[in-house]
Formats: sequence, structure tokens, C-alpha cells
Amino acid sequence: MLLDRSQLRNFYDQVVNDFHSLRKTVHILVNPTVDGLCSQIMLTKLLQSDSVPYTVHYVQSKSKLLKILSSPNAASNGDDSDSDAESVDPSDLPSYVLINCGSTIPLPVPCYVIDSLRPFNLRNVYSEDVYIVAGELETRDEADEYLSQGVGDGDYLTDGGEDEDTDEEDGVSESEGEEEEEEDQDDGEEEADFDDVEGRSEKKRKPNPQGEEVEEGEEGDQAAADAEADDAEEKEEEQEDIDPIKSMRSRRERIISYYNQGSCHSYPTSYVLLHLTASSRFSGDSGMLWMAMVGSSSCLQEGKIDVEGWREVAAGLERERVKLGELGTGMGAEVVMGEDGRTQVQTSQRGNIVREAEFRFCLLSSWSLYDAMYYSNYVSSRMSCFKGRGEAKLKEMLAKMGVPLDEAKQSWAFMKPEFRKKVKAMIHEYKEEYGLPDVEVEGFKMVTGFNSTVSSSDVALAVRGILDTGSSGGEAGVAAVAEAVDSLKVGGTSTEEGSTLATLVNGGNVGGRGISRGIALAKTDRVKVMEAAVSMVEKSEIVAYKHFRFAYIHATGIGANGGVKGNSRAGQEKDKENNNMGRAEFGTPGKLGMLANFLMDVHRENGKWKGRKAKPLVLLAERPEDGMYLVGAYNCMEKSGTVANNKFGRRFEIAARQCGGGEEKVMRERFDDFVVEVPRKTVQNFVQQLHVIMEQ
Amino acid sequence: MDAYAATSLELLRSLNRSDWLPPYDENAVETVFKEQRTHVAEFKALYEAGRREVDGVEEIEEGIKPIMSLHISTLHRNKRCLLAYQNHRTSKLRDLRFETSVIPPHLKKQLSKQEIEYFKEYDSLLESYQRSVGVSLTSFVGGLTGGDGCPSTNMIEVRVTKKGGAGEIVTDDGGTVDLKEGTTHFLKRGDVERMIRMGEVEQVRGGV
Repeated sequence: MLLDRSQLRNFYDQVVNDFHSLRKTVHILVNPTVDGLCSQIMLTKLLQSDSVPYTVHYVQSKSKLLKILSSPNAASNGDDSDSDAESVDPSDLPSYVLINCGSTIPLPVPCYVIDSLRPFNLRNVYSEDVYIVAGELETRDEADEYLSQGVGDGDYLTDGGEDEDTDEEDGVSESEGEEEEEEDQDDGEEEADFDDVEGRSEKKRKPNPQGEEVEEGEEGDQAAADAEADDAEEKEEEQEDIDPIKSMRSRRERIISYYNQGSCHSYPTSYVLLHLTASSRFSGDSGMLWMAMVGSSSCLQEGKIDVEGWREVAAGLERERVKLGELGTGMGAEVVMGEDGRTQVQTSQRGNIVREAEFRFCLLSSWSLYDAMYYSNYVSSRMSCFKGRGEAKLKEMLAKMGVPLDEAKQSWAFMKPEFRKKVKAMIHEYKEEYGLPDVEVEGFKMVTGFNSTVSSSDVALAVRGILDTGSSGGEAGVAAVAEAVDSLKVGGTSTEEGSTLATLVNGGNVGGRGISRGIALAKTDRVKVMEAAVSMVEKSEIVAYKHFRFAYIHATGIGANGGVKGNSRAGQEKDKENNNMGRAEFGTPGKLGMLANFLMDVHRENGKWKGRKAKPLVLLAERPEDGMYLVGAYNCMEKSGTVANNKFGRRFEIAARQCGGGEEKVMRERFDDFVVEVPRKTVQNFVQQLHVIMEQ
Repeated sequence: MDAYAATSLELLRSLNRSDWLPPYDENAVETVFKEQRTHVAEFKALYEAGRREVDGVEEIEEGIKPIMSLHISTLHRNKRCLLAYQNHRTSKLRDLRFETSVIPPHLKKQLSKQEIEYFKEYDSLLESYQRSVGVSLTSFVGGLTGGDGCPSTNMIEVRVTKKGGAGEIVTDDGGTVDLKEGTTHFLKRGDVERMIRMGEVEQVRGGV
């Protein structure tokens, strides 16, 4: 069942009432992304204020999520028995709240779901027990549309899961073939020739802010085609009344087209939850607003929302900020009179949030101007800073701006104020000349300890850096999530400088834990991403197939074909020779995504991956610790800052099936279905299967 | 031999350096005992060598008196240092008893067998006293030592840090909660207070 944002309050009240009346405990299952953790902090703060006990579980895989949901005793009583949750009386089950996970897989027990990932699993949409907060009305309309078409027929959806899967799988292969044929043609033809039902769903679908830009144009162009499609559908419906087999087939096709639209993200979960807090006693709470800002910023960085979507979200955040009475820089500061009655003494503005257009540089407040520009995706891809000529161009720009190189390489916090003050104006003056027209983007900053400021995007990057250190799971994963949560909070037990926002001082010595460690990690990650990308380009490691590009990121000398033994001297020599030793770190989805984005930005800006040459990029990063390759597929967009649905989830599913099972089975455990884990022995076959699927 | 009383002084310094108590340094204590025995032996040897009888009265040679005095002072100093070392440790153990009746595993490894025995004996003494007077001296938060002071709320957020989880607990209201590793819980303070002291869970502080 879908709920829109206005019903969030009802959903929350239900959870609280269930505790007070039925003593149902609350279990919050969180996908530990930056947005997920921000949302968790917001929700738990609300529950704490209502004195509702809760338990938070961090789930990084579908199987772990289902294990917790399927074993109610394990979740509530600590019994690891495999008792089936469906056999338990629903009133005995705890209240499950799923944050950024679960909406795309059929849920076995009653749940409340707040997830930005799309498309929803239809079984959840039509379940009476699963409540999904959709975030926007369009998605609900879309689901209603499918319902009206008969997709949500209860008989079909409640059939045995295996049968349903088989039906879908059979159909997918067929549909994939059709879809690929369409991709070979021009865009206009693609829409016109598309299957009526599928075309209709594609054109009318507006699930997210980022999808609008891509699809609105298609809508305008296809008005006539819409009318024709409607007529055709009416005829089809008439026929369906007569022929139940055709009706069933049509319904199946609609389901397939629904799932084949590819995965995408809607509004950030933390932004959606802000609407819940706005209707609570925390409506004037800057902490909640800050969490929504950090969560939303992370979604922009991770490519979950596009620039247009971010503008919409930023406008919403700004409205909430204005409500807090913080109307701009310094407006929230307290000013008291000095002892002499004349001097104005400004007291601490800590916690004050200001709106400020920020440069698309990387961690400017914690780095030097030179490094922040050099290592940022935006500047580096446009000026090719990693090349000698590009670096000279960057230095030339700084010289024209009147900033000495020594000062530019000085930490931003310690740069001479006379230069720091004029940087903004000078960048505005020279941005067009150096091809950086959109160098500014909407941003929010918080005043931390000692009147330093930190932007929401920097915090998001830092927390992401911390989370990446524990993405392998286990003890490291537990510690990383705990540290990330602590970093997001303003206060805490640790008094170490820089461990929390309250003690963070820009340009100061970074500490060994918390937010400052995250910033240090984020810097290191940026450097490694650029080094790896440059190395890959120089060695021509990116291979172009007809429908996609791919590149291996080997971390050992073993290689995808298992040619060289891992611990042998030859293998180690090969590691050194290929400079692969630092590449093991790309076995995490976060860093792999950063690398893919940088590679695509660079090639888009130099014109090599533009137009018809803009193919999806598949990266295969080796993880030496478990002998797996992390495989991620990313859309190469025509224009920077746009996002399209990622359709590789279904393709990976088929490729995985073709590769077979057994011990060398492809792991499709992540919630983002375009990232999978493939065993070393299978990875070459997997790429070949992917090529065959897309070729068909 | 190192400078006189250096080892016993180092024992005291180790107390100063540690957050709670350093591991009981049996070797250092034994070294101090050896030093004491050496001082006694040397004192005796000096006494025998410098002793003489003048007109039937026993006298000590004037030249060795300062050396003998040094040995005696060192003996007294070592004794005071060892007593201070042990007193500090037992004092900490008594304080610990007012926070928990069981020694947390991560603290237990810092103690000697005798100290563990001392804790048990003190525990039974305190228990019997509490029973006899009918008053619990350790039931409120922080015990007699005050702990973190009076809590502002009766519910706290805790994170399970113990490897493999801290097991299942029965809460005040009769429910059960499984404290699995890495999970975070919002519970009544009394339900998890003992585990916080045992170091199995940690209180999550700070907010937004």
C-alpha cells in the first residue's frame, strides 16, 4: 500500500500507538548509506521524544534483511530459530520500519517502508500489510494506473513466488531483446516503435525529480503517439474481455514493462522524513533540518538525484530553513552589548545553518584551494588537470585571479584573508574563460566550533568515506557504521578535536576519529580515484563493446582468467609492475561509483563519450579478500548532472542466470541492483553473457 | 641494581598513567622485595664490619653511618610505595563493587588472583551488611560513588559493542531484547546499566 508524504504522520502515529496499546516493539532496519543514517537519526529522535523503545539493525544485503524479517523470534527474542514469520500472528510481530531498503523485494511480514529506490515490488504495493511511503503522488498514480490495467490482480500477485518469477524471467528475455533493438535506433524511433503498453508506461512515468528532464521532452514529442496508443489499448481491452489468455499475456507484459523501466531513486529519504518532523514538536529543530541537508547532499553526490532534482530539494530545504528564522549569514547570530554599552560582541553561532551557493570544489574548507579544484570532478574533468597542460591551465587561472600559488596551496583556513575574500569574485570573472560556467551550486553550511563552517556536501563526503572503510562487513563494518553515526551527531562523549561537528575547526590538525577522520579519508579517496582513472586511461584499460564499455580493476596479479597465482612471486611482481596494489580499495560500491563518475565526466568533457559514443560503463573491481569482483554498471549521460534509470539490474539478473549457480554463483545481494558480486572464475563469462544479452 | 627505590616508584607512576588500574605487576613487586632483602643484607654486613667495642661499649664506625642510614631510608620508602600501590588498587576495587557486583572481563585481566579474591570477600561482606541493615547501598544509579550523576532521563540509547553480542536480556516490563553485535537499542537505563559497566554495550551520546 502506498502512502504519500501527507500520510507520514499517520504512519508514525500508528507505530507509536502499536507500542502503547499492543506493546509492539519497534525494529528499524537501515541500509547504512549516508541518507539512510541521517534518516535513522531523525526517526529515532522522534521515537525517543515519545519514549518508544526501539532496536536498530543495519542491513547491507537483501538476505540479511529477509533473515531478520523472517525470524521474528530472532529479531525480538534473540532466538535464532528459523520459524516462519508468516505463521506467526501478525499482532505478535514487532513493528518493522525499513529505511532505504526493502521496497524492491517482496516483504514477508507487515512493514512500514521509507525507501527512495524505485521501482517498488508490486507485491508490496498491493499488499494490505506493507505500507510504503512513496514520497510523491506521481508514483501512487502510476501504481493506480497499473492497478486499473489489471496488473495488480490479486490472483497473479499472490501466486507462488517461483511461478511468478518464471513468468517474469521468461518474459524478460523476450523484452530485453526488443529493448536492445530499440536502443540501436534513433531516440525518436525508439519511442514510436516501442510496444504500446511499454511505451505508455515509459512516457507517463514520472517517479522522480531526475527523471523529469529526460522524459518530459519525450512526452511532448509523443502526444500524437499517446493518442494512438490509447486507441490501441482500448481495442486491446475489448479483446481482453473476450480472450482471457490474451488478457493474462497483456498483464504479464505490463508487469515486465514496469520492472524493465530500470532502477532509479526518488526524493532522498531524509528529505521525505523532514515532512514528518515538520509536523511534530521538532518543527523548529535545526538538527533535523541539517540531517535532511546532509542526506540530500549525499544523494546528489552519489548520482541518485540530478541537478534539477537537487534544486527542487534545496528549495524545499530552504523553505524549512527560513521557517527556523535563519534568514542568512549572521542573521541567527546572537549579538550582545559589551560592558561599555557600545561595543557589539558577537557570541557563538554554533549550529546556525546558512544557505550559500558553494563552488563545486572538493572539500574546500578542509583542503587548499589548489587541491580542492585539482581533485574535484567538475574542475578536473573540464580542465584535464591530471595532464601537464591542464595543470598549467589551472595555475594560469589562479595567476589571473591574482592568487599566488603558495597561497593557493596553503590550507583554505590559513590562506591570507586578502586573497580568500576575493576568490569568489575572481572565479566569477574567469569561470567562463576557463569553461567552468556552472561552477556554483546551491549549498548549505553549518557553523561549527569556533565559528568555522562546514558544508553539508563535505559532511556527506566525510561520512561516506567512513562508511566505505567498513563496506566489507564484519567487525570493520560495525565499527564504521558506529563511527559514521557519531560523526553525524553534533555532540558526543569524545572531546577529541574534530571528532564531532561541535569541535571541528577547519584547517586544524585532523583527529583520529569522527568527522575529521572522515574528511581525511574523503581526501585520500579523491586522490586515489584520480590516480586510478588516469592510470586506466593511460594504459587503455577501458574496452568498448558495441553496447557498453567495461574495464577491469585488478588488485592482484591473478587476473580474471586466474592466469597468475595470487601469492606467488610472479604474481607479486606483476602487481608491482601494474601498480595494482592500491586498487583493492575499489571493491566497495561507493568508491567504484566515484571512479565511474569521474571517468565518465572526463570523457564526456573531452568529447570522446558523447552522442552515439555515450555507452554505459561497466567496472569490475577485484576484491582480493574474498576472490570476488564487484561489478557496477553506470549510465553515461549526454549532459553532466543528469540521471537516467539504470536498466542493468535485469540484465545482470539474466547474465547471472546464464553463468549458472553452484559455488561460483553471482551474488545479487545489494539493494542497488546494478551492483553485483561475481566470483573470479566467472567474471569473464559474466561480461560475455552481458554482451550477448545486450546484443540480442 | 638500579637506583634505590626506582622500581617501587615506577609502580606508583604506572597507577598514575592508567585510566582505571594497570595490570598487577607481579614481577616489579617481586623485584622490590628482592631489593629489600638486599638492603637488609647489606645493612647487616655493614653493621658487622663497622661494629667495635670501646671500653665495653658497642660503637659503630662513624664513616659507615650515613650508608646504613641510606639503606634504612630506602627500606622505609619501598615499604611505603608498595603499601600505597596496594592501597590504591584495593580502593579502586571497593569502588568497583558499588558499581557492579561482578568484575567485568576486560577489568578482570588487570587484577591478581589475590585481588580477585579480595573483591569476592568484600562483595560478600557488603551483601551481608546490606541484608543485616535492610538497606541497599548500591541500588541507585551510580551507586555511592555517584557515577555519571543523576540521569536526566530513564531511557538511554546504547550500542552493542561486545563481539558476538551481549545476549538476551529481560526488560523491566517483561519483554526480551536480544543485544546483537552492532545493533542499537533505546531502553530503560536500568535494563542495561550493568552491561554498560561490564563494557558490553556503550551509551550513545550526542544528538542533532
